[in-house]
Amino acid sequence: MINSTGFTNHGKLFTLRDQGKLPGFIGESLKHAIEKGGKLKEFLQFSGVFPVVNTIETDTVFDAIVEILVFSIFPYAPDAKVPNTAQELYSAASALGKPLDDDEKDNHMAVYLPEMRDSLILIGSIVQNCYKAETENGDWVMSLANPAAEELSKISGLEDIWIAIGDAMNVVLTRLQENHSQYSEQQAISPDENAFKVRYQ
Amino acid sequence: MDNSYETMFAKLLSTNPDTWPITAQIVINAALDPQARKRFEQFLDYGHLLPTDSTIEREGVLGHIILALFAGMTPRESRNIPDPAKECLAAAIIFEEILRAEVDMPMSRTSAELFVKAMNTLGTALNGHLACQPMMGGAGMGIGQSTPGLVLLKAIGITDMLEAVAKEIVATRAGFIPQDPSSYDGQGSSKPEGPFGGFKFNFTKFSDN
Repeated sequence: MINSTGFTNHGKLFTLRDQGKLPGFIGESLKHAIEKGGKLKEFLQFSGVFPVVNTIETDTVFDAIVEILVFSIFPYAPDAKVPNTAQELYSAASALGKPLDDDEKDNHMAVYLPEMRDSLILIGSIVQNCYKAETENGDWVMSLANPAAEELSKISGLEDIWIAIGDAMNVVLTRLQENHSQYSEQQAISPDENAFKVRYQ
Repeated sequence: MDNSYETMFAKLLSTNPDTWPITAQIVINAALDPQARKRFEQFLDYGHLLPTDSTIEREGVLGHIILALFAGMTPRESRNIPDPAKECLAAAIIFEEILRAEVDMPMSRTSAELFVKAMNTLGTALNGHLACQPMMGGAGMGIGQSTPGLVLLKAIGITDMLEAVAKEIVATRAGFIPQDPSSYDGQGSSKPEGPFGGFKFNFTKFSDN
């Protein structure tokens, strides 16, 4: 459903995904984030931006939202600029607001585009104030912006996503220990709660 | 937190409401209206930020939250421009200090802890999404929402309260709603913008108080 975001960080990760070249730890993070996304979905529903009924279609839409979020967090390459996650989400929302082409109009999922757009804006506006991304001794770190942000992160369900990504890092670390060649291009570093760290090599 | 920020919350908290600036009375009374605050209350309940076991405690915490929130949108006699997010964070710090000092306070310890959490939540949520700006060459002050923040402010219930406040300031002639949101121009790139253009206060109202 996203096709006009080629110049964004998430757009580049979509391209890598389509080419089967998505870095392993990002795929693992996405899997964990979708699994632990229940509270985020509940918050979007409470906020009136996401359908309150749970169907296969709404599950698909939610998975797509989480995918854009995760692809807006991780730099697409070791030498890439650290993405501004909130701006990435606003940019994805903006792309969804453009008039549909004929193929898109025929897609029955297109009816959910307004919900998807508003959900991305809402998540972006919270991420903008709750989290910061920075490089620290060569490691790339995403963490809570300050202690006051903890409660909003928790209420919105984003804390669960961050913890899920941290769990994914641990899974990747274990695999790294078992098979160093599998994820040789990037190394995940074990996270704290509400923060995670990646060492791009 | 910027130490130079002029906090209104502490002043209002320690004085009789009858002596508050008329602008503070207008905004806080309008926001406290049950219909205006309905969505906001729902959000606080959703976040488990209000006491549930005592109506008196609940009303006390909610009243203090709304007081701090709108103190952050109340014009100052000094004409310094308030910041709603900073005011919320300042209110949290004030109550954290009261809790640490273990002195008398207007609510139970548990309620005060909820108040701190609520103010931190709001302070984080409002940052960059709800802003006050000098207007009319410094003779007035406007309040507006950022475009990306509109969905969040609506979800929290801030928008409903702002609309009630805007109607009230027009009715009481303490200010007016600009017809064109672009009238916020001239104050830098961070000007509030969006379909709801906010409202203006006229500082001359202080002379009527």
